[in-house]
Amino acid sequence: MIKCPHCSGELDFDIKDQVVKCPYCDSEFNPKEEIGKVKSASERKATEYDTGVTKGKCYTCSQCGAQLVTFDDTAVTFCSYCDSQALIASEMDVLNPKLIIPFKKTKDEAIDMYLKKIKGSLFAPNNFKNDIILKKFRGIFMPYEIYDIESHDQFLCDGERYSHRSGDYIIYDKFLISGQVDAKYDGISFDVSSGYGDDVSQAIPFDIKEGEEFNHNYLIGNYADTSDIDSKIYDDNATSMVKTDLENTIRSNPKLYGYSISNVKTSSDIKEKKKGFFPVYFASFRNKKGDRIHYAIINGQNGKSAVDIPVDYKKYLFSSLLLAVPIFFILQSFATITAQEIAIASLIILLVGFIIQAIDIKKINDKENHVNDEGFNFKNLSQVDIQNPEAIKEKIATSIEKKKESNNTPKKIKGFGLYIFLTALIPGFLLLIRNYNDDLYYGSAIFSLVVCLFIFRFVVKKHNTFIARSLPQLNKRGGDENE
Amino acid sequence: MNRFKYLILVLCLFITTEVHAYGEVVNNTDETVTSTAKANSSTSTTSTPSTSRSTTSRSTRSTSRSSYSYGESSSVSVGSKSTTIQIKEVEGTSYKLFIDDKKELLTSSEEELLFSDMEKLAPYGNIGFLSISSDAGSETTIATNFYVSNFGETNGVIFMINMQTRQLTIRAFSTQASVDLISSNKVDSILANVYRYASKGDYYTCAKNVFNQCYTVITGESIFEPMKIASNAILAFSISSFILYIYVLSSSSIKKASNKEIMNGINRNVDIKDIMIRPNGTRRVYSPQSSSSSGGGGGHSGGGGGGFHSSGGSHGF
Repeated sequence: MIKCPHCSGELDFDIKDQVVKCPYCDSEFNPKEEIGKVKSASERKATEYDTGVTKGKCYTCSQCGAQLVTFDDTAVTFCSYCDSQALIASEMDVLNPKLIIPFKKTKDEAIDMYLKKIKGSLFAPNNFKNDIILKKFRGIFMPYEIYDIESHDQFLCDGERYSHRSGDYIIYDKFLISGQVDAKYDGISFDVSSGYGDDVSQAIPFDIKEGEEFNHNYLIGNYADTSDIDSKIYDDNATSMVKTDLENTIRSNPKLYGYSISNVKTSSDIKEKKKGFFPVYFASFRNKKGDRIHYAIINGQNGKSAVDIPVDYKKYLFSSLLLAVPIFFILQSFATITAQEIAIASLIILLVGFIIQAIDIKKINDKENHVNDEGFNFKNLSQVDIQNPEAIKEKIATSIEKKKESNNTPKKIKGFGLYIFLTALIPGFLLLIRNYNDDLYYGSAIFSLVVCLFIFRFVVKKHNTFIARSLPQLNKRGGDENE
Repeated sequence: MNRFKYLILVLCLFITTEVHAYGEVVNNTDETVTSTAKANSSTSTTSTPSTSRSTTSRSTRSTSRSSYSYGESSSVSVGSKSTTIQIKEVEGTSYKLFIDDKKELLTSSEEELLFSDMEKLAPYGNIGFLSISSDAGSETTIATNFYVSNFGETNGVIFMINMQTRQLTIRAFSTQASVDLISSNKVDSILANVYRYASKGDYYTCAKNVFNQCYTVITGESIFEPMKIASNAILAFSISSFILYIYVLSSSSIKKASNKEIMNGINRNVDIKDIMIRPNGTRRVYSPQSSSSSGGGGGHSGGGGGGFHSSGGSHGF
């Protein structure tokens, strides 16, 4: 992308020293200054393609003339033949980024953070530590929308404070509280790439204060994606965040100690929005069946990680057996549970198991249907008026509500409520008829608890399946492009 | 899915009701008997049945209760000093062995054999066997009142078979505060081991095993509790699986950063000033003060023998 002005070698960005270096002649350059001409991929005779699964453009590598296949959201890529970095100028012009947070963590440090995360997860499969996966990590700059929001207005709220007791009544004094807010929030950001899930981007926040004015030099050596969704869909999220913070600040004001604050009214305006690039290390790898894909994303600035970690069922089972030993001795020492009591205990465990699996299945369904991923839902809307943010929000909300209500959604995972209910009938019936035979109670309790264990097994299996993400994600750099 | 949730809720409410009813009858809690048995005027041993109440045979608990009162005409005067009791004194101890087989569950020879089985327990208290047919109160009350009315507040163990309610009951009495002769947990285990004999009608073997296992427990040995081991094992594994399942759910999901974390990463400048607080009326909330306890100091009348208490449990057959 940028050649060394001294020896024409490919430049590299040194993360530790935060300078641009030439590995051939050891020259160092300030990334904030112009080093050389940025050479883009040739867009002459660029052709478009659409496979039905992915679509994008084909360019020509400015170094070796080979064909560069890119996807719709690609801003910077690498040539598969000569490995030189290629900037897609047209995409960059559309994005027009103003700010960039440089990589502060090296790839090795990112891998260490990933391994720390895996080791900290009790039941992570051992193959998640394999070198094959570690080699998949790539540095990518993700596009973000950065909001500058201000509030210079009066606030109003209701306040209440304990006054005194009068007989059987407690008297509270009510107040109308007002004041002036002068607030500036610069840097609230949301990712504007549909393939980069909201659940991931909101888990690894960045520190905007370390951002620099955008310069292509910071992109050296890494991929970059461009935006494929309109940032207007996040306007309400940004102002909502400011509103919440202002409310908390008002509540915690020393002058209002002792008051119970409610009904806070504030106002804020979006003063400016700009695009920026934030650094992540990204790896993706398929599950055993090959039909779903796990993400591992490390924040390139602070090392925070977000990884789709499944559960190794053998480890889970072994750990359960291990933990059962001290619990068993505690029960032996301190409790004698009668037959009826264990039947009741099994019913309670069935009930709690039902609640837990219902919650988990709902989470799986929500994730599978991208219920809370506004970026994804925007991308998959048809006929949307980009200039009308209200229409966009309404359409997304309707789409999400339809998904929640639909019982025929192909991706709706069914829970185990029916099996749990049928199992609970047995000990329930015995308790109802007040049978005296302990063996029946023990038998029903054992049966119930075994069913519960099977249900845990199935839910863990489904959890493992859907912790990964559905394809296609082939366009995400991070290892699978050569598989 | 909503229908199943509703059904589970109904089931839970029902179970709660049943558990409550169950808990009323199978009383495994220790009781402190602070007064001696109430004086009674009736020593009737008529065979007229007690006031009829619905009961189910072979059930673990009775379905109805009446308030217990001495002197009530019933088939068994359990609150009174028994006139059918056989008492045997044992050399070297002031305690006695007793058998009051009102329902004639044991033959004469079995009674003799049972006395010899009970003998080894004699150093520890008054040891006895009682068979009745009554639903005049809970098993605990019946057994305790019988024992206390005949032997006072002394150490002892009574094994009672109630043919009316089909309940086996063991009560152990101790004069030492906080020290059980036999704990309720062990009583549960003993009854779980022996109830099958009673179910088959072999009451002698049932009683024999009761006293043998009581002796084992009192002398500090262990009794075989197979179902306790099995049920605790299954329960322990279920609890551990459940705990780790909760851990899996909480640790494997990707957690959204908090608002505070996000705010720490931006340029934030907030100034709240010119705060004005204006009164805007009052709000009253009804919150009655707790009434002073009427008649306070309730509970147990002083009674004598501080520390005398009983432990035990019941089991259906």
